[in-house]
Amino acid sequence: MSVEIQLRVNGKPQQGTVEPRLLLVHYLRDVLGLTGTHIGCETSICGACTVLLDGKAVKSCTLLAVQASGAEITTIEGLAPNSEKHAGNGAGNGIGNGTGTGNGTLHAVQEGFWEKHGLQCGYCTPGMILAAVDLLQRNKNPKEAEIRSALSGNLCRCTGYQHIIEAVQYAAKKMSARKR
Amino acid sequence: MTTRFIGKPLKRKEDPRLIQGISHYVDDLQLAGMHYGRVPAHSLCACEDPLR
Repeated sequence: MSVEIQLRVNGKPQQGTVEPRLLLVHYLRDVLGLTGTHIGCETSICGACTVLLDGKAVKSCTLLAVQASGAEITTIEGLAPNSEKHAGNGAGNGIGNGTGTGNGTLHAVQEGFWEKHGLQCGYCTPGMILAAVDLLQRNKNPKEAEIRSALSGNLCRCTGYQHIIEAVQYAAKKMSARKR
Repeated sequence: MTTRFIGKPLKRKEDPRLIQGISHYVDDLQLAGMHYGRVPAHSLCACEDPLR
């Protein structure tokens, strides 16, 4: 049995038929080839699979693709402005891609992670960044405790939490400076 | 003596791809005829289809 779904992923309309049991994270990674969204625990604990669904951070390993039908999804590939070249290629990726530095335009949270050494291996990073984007949309100037609370559903096994907090603070400052 | 790299923070060269989701981990690899499965001790095994 398959079900018809229609959604927007990183601004690009997508439609197709999927099995009702297909998880959103598998749809993004295996059907659309957007492997920037990672699978860590598959039990909603680690947050590596976090994406934005209509602007809100969700764990894509706990949603079915059919539940995202009609929604707008943003993955790490689509976060930076002008990032359309990573909007999904409909196929899996081979080896050797992804060594470029992108187009030079990063989202303020991405910039913060780079500036403040908010990552080591980078596996938790896409989820951390998207959870932080959700927070900064709701709270322009979060206190440290509020950042820790907002990221409590995202685990980093490199234990780089302190620098992640600093990265989010950097982004908050940068975003409020831009709006002035 | 050059001190270009000493005493100051350096931005990591691998970060741009990691923060944009365009990096690749083993789980992202797709090779022709690849099968995968778990074997004991938390390993991920990727190999050619032995039946082909």
